[in-house]
Amino acid sequence: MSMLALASFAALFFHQPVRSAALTVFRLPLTVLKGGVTVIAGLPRLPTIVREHEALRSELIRQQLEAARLREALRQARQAAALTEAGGVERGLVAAVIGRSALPTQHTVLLDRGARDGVQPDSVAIDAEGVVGRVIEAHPATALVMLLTDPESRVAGLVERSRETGLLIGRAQGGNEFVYLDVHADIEVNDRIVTAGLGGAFPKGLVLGTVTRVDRDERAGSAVAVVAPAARLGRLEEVLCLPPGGAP
Amino acid sequence: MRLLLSCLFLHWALANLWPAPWWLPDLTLAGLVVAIVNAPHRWAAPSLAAAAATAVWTVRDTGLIFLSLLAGGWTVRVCAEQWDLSDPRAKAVLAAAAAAVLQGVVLWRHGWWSWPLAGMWLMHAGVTGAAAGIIGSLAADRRAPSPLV
Repeated sequence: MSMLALASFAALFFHQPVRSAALTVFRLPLTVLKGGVTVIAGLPRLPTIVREHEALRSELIRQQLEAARLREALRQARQAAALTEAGGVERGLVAAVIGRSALPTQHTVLLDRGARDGVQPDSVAIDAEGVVGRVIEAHPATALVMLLTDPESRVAGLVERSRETGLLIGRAQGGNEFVYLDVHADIEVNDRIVTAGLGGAFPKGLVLGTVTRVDRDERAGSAVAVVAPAARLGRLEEVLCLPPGGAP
Repeated sequence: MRLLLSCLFLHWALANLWPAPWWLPDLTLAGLVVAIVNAPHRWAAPSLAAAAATAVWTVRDTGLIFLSLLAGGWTVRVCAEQWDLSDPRAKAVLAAAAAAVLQGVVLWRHGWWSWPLAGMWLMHAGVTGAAAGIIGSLAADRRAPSPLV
Protein backbone atom coordinates (compact mmCIF):
# COMPACT_ATOMS: atom_id res chain seq x y z
CA MET A 1 0.00 0.00 0.00
CA SER A 2 2.80 2.31 0.96
CA MET A 3 4.62 1.37 -2.24
CA LEU A 4 1.53 2.23 -4.28
CA ALA A 5 1.25 5.59 -2.58
CA LEU A 6 4.95 6.28 -3.14
CA ALA A 7 4.65 5.33 -6.80
CA SER A 8 1.64 7.65 -7.21
CA PHE A 9 3.51 10.46 -5.52
CA ALA A 10 6.56 9.86 -7.76
CA ALA A 11 4.36 9.75 -10.87
CA LEU A 12 2.69 12.98 -9.80
CA PHE A 13 6.03 14.79 -9.55
CA PHE A 14 8.14 13.21 -12.22
CA HIS A 15 5.72 12.06 -14.98
CA GLN A 16 4.92 15.20 -16.92
CA PRO A 17 1.40 14.36 -18.24
CA VAL A 18 0.21 13.13 -14.84
CA ARG A 19 1.77 16.17 -13.20
CA SER A 20 0.06 18.53 -15.66
CA ALA A 21 -3.29 16.88 -15.14
CA ALA A 22 -2.90 16.97 -11.37
CA LEU A 23 -1.89 20.61 -11.32
CA THR A 24 -4.81 21.50 -13.56
CA VAL A 25 -7.18 19.75 -11.17
CA PHE A 26 -5.61 21.34 -8.12
CA ARG A 27 -5.49 24.81 -9.65
CA LEU A 28 -8.97 25.90 -8.53
CA PRO A 29 -8.84 24.65 -4.95
CA LEU A 30 -5.33 26.01 -4.58
CA THR A 31 -6.42 29.40 -5.86
CA VAL A 32 -9.36 29.46 -3.44
CA LEU A 33 -7.09 28.41 -0.64
CA LYS A 34 -4.50 31.01 -1.47
CA GLY A 35 -7.23 33.64 -1.65
CA GLY A 36 -8.54 32.62 1.73
CA VAL A 37 -5.07 32.73 3.24
CA THR A 38 -4.42 36.14 1.72
CA VAL A 39 -7.69 37.46 3.10
CA ILE A 40 -7.00 36.11 6.54
CA ALA A 41 -3.45 37.41 6.46
CA GLY A 42 -4.62 40.79 5.26
CA LEU A 43 -7.38 41.19 7.84
CA PRO A 44 -5.17 43.05 10.35
CA ARG A 45 -4.14 45.44 7.54
CA LEU A 46 -7.73 46.04 6.44
CA PRO A 47 -8.15 49.52 8.02
CA THR A 48 -4.90 50.66 6.43
CA ILE A 49 -5.91 49.23 3.06
CA VAL A 50 -9.27 51.00 3.23
CA ARG A 51 -7.54 54.30 4.05
CA GLU A 52 -5.08 53.81 1.20
CA HIS A 53 -7.92 52.96 -1.14
CA GLU A 54 -9.78 56.15 -0.22
CA ALA A 55 -6.63 58.21 -0.63
CA LEU A 56 -5.95 56.67 -4.04
CA ARG A 57 -9.51 57.26 -5.13
CA SER A 58 -9.37 60.91 -4.17
CA GLU A 59 -6.01 61.21 -5.89
CA LEU A 60 -7.50 59.64 -9.02
CA ILE A 61 -10.42 62.07 -8.98
CA ARG A 62 -8.02 64.97 -8.46
CA GLN A 63 -5.91 63.81 -11.39
CA GLN A 64 -9.00 63.42 -13.57
CA LEU A 65 -10.10 66.97 -12.71
CA GLU A 66 -6.63 68.25 -13.47
CA ALA A 67 -6.65 66.40 -16.80
CA ALA A 68 -10.07 67.89 -17.63
CA ARG A 69 -8.80 71.38 -16.72
CA LEU A 70 -5.75 70.95 -18.92
CA ARG A 71 -7.85 69.65 -21.81
CA GLU A 72 -10.12 72.72 -21.50
CA ALA A 73 -7.09 75.06 -21.36
CA LEU A 74 -5.67 73.37 -24.47
CA ARG A 75 -9.00 73.72 -26.26
CA GLN A 76 -9.20 77.42 -25.33
CA ALA A 77 -5.63 78.02 -26.49
CA ARG A 78 -6.35 76.29 -29.82
CA GLN A 79 -9.56 78.26 -30.24
CA ALA A 80 -7.79 81.53 -29.46
CA ALA A 81 -5.10 80.66 -32.01
CA ALA A 82 -7.78 79.83 -34.59
CA LEU A 83 -9.60 83.08 -33.82
CA THR A 84 -6.46 85.14 -34.27
CA GLU A 85 -5.71 83.35 -37.51
CA ALA A 86 -9.28 83.89 -38.74
CA GLY A 87 -9.05 87.58 -38.00
CA GLY A 88 -5.77 87.83 -39.80
CA VAL A 89 -4.60 90.15 -37.07
CA GLU A 90 -2.95 89.77 -33.71
CA ARG A 91 -4.35 92.87 -32.09
CA GLY A 92 -7.79 91.35 -31.45
CA LEU A 93 -9.09 90.73 -27.98
CA VAL A 94 -10.46 87.31 -27.04
CA ALA A 95 -13.62 87.56 -24.94
CA ALA A 96 -15.81 84.87 -23.44
CA VAL A 97 -19.57 84.81 -24.00
CA ILE A 98 -21.17 84.92 -20.56
CA GLY A 99 -24.82 85.41 -21.39
CA ARG A 100 -27.40 85.38 -24.15
CA SER A 101 -30.66 87.24 -24.61
CA ALA A 102 -33.76 85.16 -24.01
CA LEU A 103 -35.95 87.53 -26.04
CA PRO A 104 -36.77 85.95 -29.39
CA THR A 105 -36.73 89.25 -31.27
CA GLN A 106 -33.40 90.47 -29.89
CA HIS A 107 -30.38 88.34 -30.69
CA THR A 108 -27.62 89.53 -28.41
CA VAL A 109 -24.82 88.02 -26.35
CA LEU A 110 -22.90 89.47 -23.42
CA LEU A 111 -19.08 89.40 -23.39
CA ASP A 112 -16.84 89.37 -20.33
CA ARG A 113 -14.66 92.19 -21.73
CA GLY A 114 -15.65 95.83 -21.96
CA ALA A 115 -14.46 99.37 -22.49
CA ARG A 116 -11.73 98.94 -19.84
CA ASP A 117 -10.18 96.22 -22.03
CA GLY A 118 -10.42 98.26 -25.20
CA VAL A 119 -13.74 97.05 -26.56
CA GLN A 120 -15.67 99.91 -28.13
CA PRO A 121 -19.02 100.30 -29.87
CA ASP A 122 -18.91 98.93 -33.43
CA SER A 123 -16.05 96.58 -32.58
CA VAL A 124 -16.46 93.48 -34.72
CA ALA A 125 -16.94 90.10 -33.02
CA ILE A 126 -15.78 87.06 -34.97
CA ASP A 127 -15.06 83.43 -34.24
CA ALA A 128 -12.95 80.88 -36.06
CA GLU A 129 -15.71 80.26 -38.62
CA GLY A 130 -16.74 83.83 -39.41
CA VAL A 131 -18.45 87.01 -38.29
CA VAL A 132 -20.55 86.82 -35.12
CA GLY A 133 -21.82 90.40 -34.98
CA ARG A 134 -20.82 93.81 -33.73
CA VAL A 135 -20.59 95.43 -30.33
CA ILE A 136 -23.62 97.61 -29.78
CA GLU A 137 -22.96 98.65 -26.17
CA ALA A 138 -19.56 98.75 -24.46
CA HIS A 139 -19.81 98.94 -20.68
CA PRO A 140 -16.72 99.15 -18.45
CA ALA A 141 -16.43 95.40 -17.84
CA THR A 142 -18.88 93.90 -20.33
CA ALA A 143 -20.04 94.41 -23.88
CA LEU A 144 -23.30 93.60 -25.61
CA VAL A 145 -22.96 92.16 -29.10
CA MET A 146 -25.74 92.28 -31.66
CA LEU A 147 -25.59 88.97 -33.57
CA LEU A 148 -25.81 88.77 -37.35
CA THR A 149 -29.25 87.17 -37.04
CA ASP A 150 -30.78 90.06 -35.09
CA PRO A 151 -33.60 91.61 -37.14
CA GLU A 152 -31.88 95.02 -36.97
CA SER A 153 -28.49 93.70 -38.11
CA ARG A 154 -27.27 95.12 -41.46
CA VAL A 155 -23.91 94.23 -43.01
CA ALA A 156 -22.74 95.11 -46.52
CA GLY A 157 -21.54 91.92 -48.17
CA LEU A 158 -20.46 90.44 -51.46
CA VAL A 159 -20.49 87.04 -53.07
CA GLU A 160 -16.93 85.75 -52.80
CA ARG A 161 -17.02 84.00 -56.19
CA SER A 162 -18.78 86.54 -58.39
CA ARG A 163 -18.27 89.77 -56.37
CA GLU A 164 -22.01 90.57 -56.50
CA THR A 165 -22.77 93.06 -53.74
CA GLY A 166 -25.77 93.19 -51.46
CA LEU A 167 -26.87 93.67 -47.88
CA LEU A 168 -27.00 90.88 -45.33
CA ILE A 169 -29.91 91.43 -42.98
CA GLY A 170 -31.11 89.47 -39.97
CA ARG A 171 -34.54 87.90 -39.95
CA ALA A 172 -36.88 88.01 -36.98
CA GLN A 173 -37.45 84.24 -37.21
CA GLY A 174 -33.69 83.58 -37.24
CA GLY A 175 -31.12 83.26 -40.04
CA ASN A 176 -30.12 85.85 -42.61
CA GLU A 177 -31.15 87.16 -46.00
CA PHE A 178 -28.90 88.68 -48.64
CA VAL A 179 -30.97 91.39 -50.31
CA TYR A 180 -30.72 94.19 -52.91
CA LEU A 181 -29.67 91.75 -55.60
CA ASP A 182 -30.61 92.00 -59.26
CA VAL A 183 -32.88 89.23 -60.52
CA HIS A 184 -30.05 87.97 -62.76
CA ALA A 185 -27.39 88.34 -60.09
CA ASP A 186 -24.65 85.71 -60.28
CA ILE A 187 -25.35 83.97 -56.99
CA GLU A 188 -25.88 80.28 -56.37
CA VAL A 189 -26.46 77.88 -53.53
CA ASN A 190 -23.25 77.19 -51.55
CA ASP A 191 -21.72 80.55 -52.53
CA ARG A 192 -19.88 82.18 -49.64
CA ILE A 193 -20.83 85.70 -48.61
CA VAL A 194 -18.04 87.88 -47.19
CA THR A 195 -18.00 91.40 -45.81
CA ALA A 196 -17.67 94.13 -48.42
CA GLY A 197 -15.79 96.51 -46.16
CA LEU A 198 -18.34 99.28 -46.70
CA GLY A 199 -19.92 101.25 -43.91
CA GLY A 200 -17.03 101.40 -41.50
CA ALA A 201 -17.47 98.72 -38.87
CA PHE A 202 -16.60 95.51 -40.72
CA PRO A 203 -13.24 95.04 -42.42
CA LYS A 204 -13.36 93.54 -45.92
CA GLY A 205 -13.20 89.80 -46.52
CA LEU A 206 -14.56 88.30 -43.31
CA VAL A 207 -16.81 85.29 -43.91
CA LEU A 208 -20.48 85.99 -43.18
CA GLY A 209 -22.17 82.79 -44.29
CA THR A 210 -23.16 80.41 -47.05
CA VAL A 211 -26.11 80.71 -49.43
CA THR A 212 -28.68 77.99 -48.86
CA ARG A 213 -31.44 79.19 -51.21
CA VAL A 214 -31.96 81.83 -53.90
CA ASP A 215 -35.40 83.25 -54.64
CA ARG A 216 -35.66 85.25 -57.87
CA ASP A 217 -38.70 87.48 -58.49
CA GLU A 218 -38.94 88.28 -62.21
CA ARG A 219 -41.80 90.74 -61.70
CA ALA A 220 -39.99 92.77 -59.05
CA GLY A 221 -36.68 92.34 -60.87
CA SER A 222 -34.88 91.38 -57.68
CA ALA A 223 -33.47 88.33 -55.95
CA VAL A 224 -33.14 87.37 -52.31
CA ALA A 225 -30.73 84.73 -51.01
CA VAL A 226 -31.21 82.91 -47.73
CA VAL A 227 -27.87 82.69 -45.93
CA ALA A 228 -26.77 80.39 -43.11
CA PRO A 229 -24.31 82.23 -40.85
CA ALA A 230 -20.80 80.80 -40.91
CA ALA A 231 -20.30 81.30 -37.17
CA ARG A 232 -22.09 78.88 -34.88
CA LEU A 233 -24.21 81.58 -33.29
CA GLY A 234 -26.14 79.13 -31.17
CA ARG A 235 -23.01 77.67 -29.55
CA LEU A 236 -20.73 80.63 -28.92
CA GLU A 237 -18.10 80.31 -26.20
CA GLU A 238 -15.34 82.73 -27.16
CA VAL A 239 -15.11 85.46 -29.76
CA LEU A 240 -12.39 87.75 -31.01
CA CYS A 241 -13.15 91.48 -30.85
CA LEU A 242 -11.58 93.51 -33.63
CA PRO A 243 -11.49 97.31 -33.63
CA PRO A 244 -14.14 98.94 -35.85
CA GLY A 245 -13.15 98.67 -39.51
CA GLY A 246 -10.08 96.67 -38.54
CA ALA A 247 -8.34 99.93 -37.67
CA PRO A 248 -5.20 99.68 -35.56
CA MET B 1 -40.45 85.90 -5.10
CA ARG B 2 -38.33 82.74 -4.79
CA LEU B 3 -40.43 81.17 -7.51
CA LEU B 4 -39.82 84.10 -9.84
CA LEU B 5 -36.08 84.16 -9.11
CA SER B 6 -35.89 80.43 -9.85
CA CYS B 7 -37.69 81.00 -13.14
CA LEU B 8 -35.38 83.90 -14.00
CA PHE B 9 -32.31 81.78 -13.35
CA LEU B 10 -33.71 78.83 -15.31
CA HIS B 11 -34.67 81.13 -18.18
CA TRP B 12 -31.15 82.56 -18.28
CA ALA B 13 -29.59 79.09 -18.15
CA LEU B 14 -31.84 77.68 -20.89
CA ALA B 15 -31.26 80.72 -23.11
CA ASN B 16 -27.55 79.89 -23.04
CA LEU B 17 -28.17 76.28 -23.99
CA TRP B 18 -31.00 76.73 -26.47
CA PRO B 19 -29.96 78.15 -29.83
CA ALA B 20 -33.54 78.76 -31.07
CA PRO B 21 -35.09 81.54 -28.94
CA TRP B 22 -38.60 81.21 -30.40
CA TRP B 23 -38.79 77.64 -29.10
CA LEU B 24 -37.71 78.70 -25.64
CA PRO B 25 -40.65 79.37 -23.31
CA ASP B 26 -40.56 82.80 -21.68
CA LEU B 27 -40.02 81.41 -18.19
CA THR B 28 -39.64 84.92 -16.78
CA LEU B 29 -43.16 85.78 -17.88
CA ALA B 30 -44.50 82.38 -16.84
CA GLY B 31 -42.93 82.75 -13.39
CA LEU B 32 -44.27 86.29 -13.09
CA VAL B 33 -47.83 85.21 -13.90
CA VAL B 34 -47.74 82.31 -11.44
CA ALA B 35 -46.13 84.43 -8.69
CA ILE B 36 -48.73 87.20 -9.01
CA VAL B 37 -51.69 84.81 -9.25
CA ASN B 38 -50.47 83.17 -6.03
CA ALA B 39 -50.08 86.52 -4.22
CA PRO B 40 -51.89 89.31 -6.14
CA HIS B 41 -51.28 91.98 -3.49
CA ARG B 42 -47.50 91.57 -3.98
CA TRP B 43 -47.41 92.28 -7.68
CA ALA B 44 -45.06 95.27 -7.83
CA ALA B 45 -41.77 93.69 -6.70
CA PRO B 46 -42.01 90.63 -8.98
CA SER B 47 -43.06 92.81 -11.91
CA LEU B 48 -40.12 95.16 -11.33
CA ALA B 49 -37.69 92.25 -11.00
CA ALA B 50 -38.95 90.58 -14.18
CA ALA B 51 -38.95 93.86 -16.10
CA ALA B 52 -35.42 94.73 -14.98
CA ALA B 53 -34.07 91.24 -15.72
CA THR B 54 -35.58 91.29 -19.19
CA ALA B 55 -34.53 94.86 -20.00
CA VAL B 56 -30.88 94.02 -19.29
CA TRP B 57 -30.66 92.14 -22.59
CA THR B 58 -32.52 94.58 -24.75
CA VAL B 59 -30.74 96.72 -27.32
CA ARG B 60 -33.93 98.45 -28.44
CA ASP B 61 -37.48 98.95 -27.15
CA THR B 62 -36.08 98.81 -23.62
CA GLY B 63 -38.69 101.19 -22.21
CA LEU B 64 -41.51 99.49 -24.08
CA ILE B 65 -40.55 96.04 -22.81
CA PHE B 66 -39.97 97.30 -19.27
CA LEU B 67 -43.34 99.06 -19.14
CA SER B 68 -45.10 96.14 -20.86
CA LEU B 69 -43.94 93.76 -18.13
CA LEU B 70 -45.03 96.20 -15.40
CA ALA B 71 -48.40 96.66 -17.09
CA GLY B 72 -48.65 92.91 -17.56
CA GLY B 73 -47.99 92.34 -13.88
CA TRP B 74 -50.65 94.84 -12.91
CA THR B 75 -53.15 93.28 -15.36
CA VAL B 76 -52.52 89.81 -13.96
CA ARG B 77 -53.09 91.19 -10.47
CA VAL B 78 -56.44 92.71 -11.51
CA CYS B 79 -57.48 89.46 -13.17
CA ALA B 80 -56.41 87.43 -10.13
CA GLU B 81 -58.51 89.65 -7.86
CA GLN B 82 -61.54 89.42 -10.15
CA TRP B 83 -61.51 85.71 -10.88
CA ASP B 84 -60.28 82.50 -9.37
CA LEU B 85 -57.12 81.67 -11.34
CA SER B 86 -55.83 78.94 -9.06
CA ASP B 87 -56.34 76.33 -11.79
CA PRO B 88 -53.00 75.78 -13.61
CA ARG B 89 -54.86 75.88 -16.91
CA ALA B 90 -56.02 79.44 -16.14
CA LYS B 91 -52.42 80.42 -15.42
CA ALA B 92 -51.34 78.79 -18.68
CA VAL B 93 -53.92 80.74 -20.69
CA LEU B 94 -52.97 84.00 -18.96
CA ALA B 95 -49.24 83.46 -19.55
CA ALA B 96 -49.80 82.49 -23.19
CA ALA B 97 -51.89 85.63 -23.73
CA ALA B 98 -49.25 87.79 -22.01
CA ALA B 99 -46.44 86.30 -24.14
CA ALA B 100 -48.48 86.77 -27.31
CA VAL B 101 -49.20 90.41 -26.45
CA LEU B 102 -45.61 91.19 -25.40
CA GLN B 103 -44.00 89.78 -28.55
CA GLY B 104 -46.93 90.88 -30.72
CA VAL B 105 -46.42 94.51 -29.69
CA VAL B 106 -42.71 94.32 -30.61
CA LEU B 107 -43.43 92.68 -33.98
CA TRP B 108 -46.20 95.14 -34.75
CA ARG B 109 -44.07 98.14 -33.76
CA HIS B 110 -41.29 97.16 -36.18
CA GLY B 111 -43.59 95.90 -38.90
CA TRP B 112 -41.97 92.46 -38.91
CA TRP B 113 -44.44 90.11 -40.47
CA SER B 114 -44.40 86.80 -42.34
CA TRP B 115 -46.33 83.56 -42.07
CA PRO B 116 -43.38 81.60 -40.62
CA LEU B 117 -42.89 84.38 -38.09
CA ALA B 118 -46.58 84.34 -37.16
CA GLY B 119 -46.30 80.59 -36.60
CA MET B 120 -43.28 81.03 -34.35
CA TRP B 121 -45.00 83.82 -32.45
CA LEU B 122 -48.01 81.58 -31.74
CA MET B 123 -45.77 78.66 -30.86
CA HIS B 124 -43.77 80.83 -28.44
CA ALA B 125 -46.99 81.89 -26.74
CA GLY B 126 -48.07 78.25 -26.58
CA VAL B 127 -44.87 76.93 -25.02
CA THR B 128 -44.85 79.83 -22.56
CA GLY B 129 -48.43 78.98 -21.56
CA ALA B 130 -47.52 75.31 -21.18
CA ALA B 131 -44.53 76.26 -19.03
CA ALA B 132 -46.75 78.44 -16.83
CA GLY B 133 -49.17 75.54 -16.42
CA ILE B 134 -46.38 73.23 -15.31
CA ILE B 135 -44.86 75.83 -12.98
CA GLY B 136 -48.32 76.56 -11.57
CA SER B 137 -48.93 72.86 -10.87
CA LEU B 138 -45.54 72.45 -9.20
CA ALA B 139 -46.07 75.59 -7.10
CA ALA B 140 -49.56 74.40 -6.08
CA ASP B 141 -48.15 71.03 -4.99
CA ARG B 142 -45.58 72.77 -2.82
CA ARG B 143 -48.19 75.06 -1.29
CA ALA B 144 -50.70 72.30 -0.54
CA PRO B 145 -50.72 71.20 3.15
CA SER B 146 -49.27 67.76 3.76
CA PRO B 147 -51.88 65.07 4.53
CA LEU B 148 -49.63 63.80 7.31
CA VAL B 149 -49.89 67.02 9.30
